[in-house]
Amino acid sequence: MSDGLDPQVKRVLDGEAEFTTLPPPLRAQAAAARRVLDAVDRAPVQLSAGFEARVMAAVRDRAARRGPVRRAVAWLVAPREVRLVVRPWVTGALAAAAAVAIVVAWPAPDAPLAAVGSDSVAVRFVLHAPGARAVTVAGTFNQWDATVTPLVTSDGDLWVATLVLPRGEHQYAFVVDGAEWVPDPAAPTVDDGFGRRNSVLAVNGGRAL
Amino acid sequence: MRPAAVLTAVALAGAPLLGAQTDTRSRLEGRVPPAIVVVVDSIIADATAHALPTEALIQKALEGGAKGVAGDRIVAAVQQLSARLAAAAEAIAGAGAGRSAAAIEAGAFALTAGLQPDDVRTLAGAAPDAVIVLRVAGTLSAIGVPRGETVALVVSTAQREGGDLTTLPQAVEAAMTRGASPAQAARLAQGGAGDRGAQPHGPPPDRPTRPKPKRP
Repeated sequence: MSDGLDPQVKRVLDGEAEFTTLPPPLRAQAAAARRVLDAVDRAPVQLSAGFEARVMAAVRDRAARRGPVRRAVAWLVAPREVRLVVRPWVTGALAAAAAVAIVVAWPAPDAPLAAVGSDSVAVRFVLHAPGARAVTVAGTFNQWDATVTPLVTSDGDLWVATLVLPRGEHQYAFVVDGAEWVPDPAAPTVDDGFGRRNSVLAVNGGRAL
Repeated sequence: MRPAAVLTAVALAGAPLLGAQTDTRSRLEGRVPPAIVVVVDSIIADATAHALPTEALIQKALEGGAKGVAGDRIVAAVQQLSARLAAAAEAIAGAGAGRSAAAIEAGAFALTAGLQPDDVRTLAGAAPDAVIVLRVAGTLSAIGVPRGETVALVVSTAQREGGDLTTLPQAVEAAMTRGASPAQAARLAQGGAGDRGAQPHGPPPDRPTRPKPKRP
């Protein structure tokens, strides 16, 4: 499976390269993808009922393990992103890591983003990995290449990337610092056949299941 | 027919396969050990000969290479996936459903997620579009819903007029976060879907269910 986007186009979409550096044949593709992402960014993010409930359960669980002062402080200083905290996955520099995959489905079936097609869906991958130096996502949508789809961060904690995924069953994992394969705790997982687990995301008819 | 014409026809018939093999090797070279490229290529050629989709097999080999897995484990994983694709294809054909590449891949996904070939056959025969049915069932199974409840929920929804399969995973996850077990969540979703008459044919209540996959 492939998302159909050229790696050079992805670099432009991630802000790592200028549009003008693209060869002319790729500019149309970049412009089309940019229109899609712009439309998604403008549209209200529609979170599934399952996602909201899952996040709130994690928040309640986390809050229950804190004292009232820490809860108050945390509430005051917490950024307004949605977070899902899981148990530590790396001893040492990374105290905790958590991930959410925010599925940004099309706003409505009658308002498709034609540049990609009605069978595709934009998926925002978010990894909470404080202390990480680099985070990428690898999966069936990018030939399991752990170098071509970096997540970006503005605060060093929350790493984000938005991909347009085509119809099909996708398996993926995050790669932290080029070495640690981390499944998305917010997504279902399956055995990867190598003794680990992959996160799974099925896309059908322009929406993620 | 003249011998030259026969040779030309044979060469032309084999050209696509040769091209596919070349493409496969070019995609794997540099990503997995050279010795493994040859073995995986032979597995893929065998799958092609049996009219199975091969993209997932290439992806599995690429995945193993990216994760630094030993060559023998890559081969084993590709063989296992090839067997699942074959099992899915047989089950789908047994259901009389369309044996498209997408359906076979969705069936293999469902098998990987924990369903059995009999389940795939039942699901594939439950609706005209086997692909969506199998994708949803695979997702539910990956969430942790037991086989019986998964099949019952998906089949009843697929056969109910106006039933929306694509909302099932979200409904099940929402119930799970409220404290329901995966099996209970599936039954709640089935009730919520308005299909009161459907009888789940899953395991009896006293039968242990598969635990939800452990996350790191």
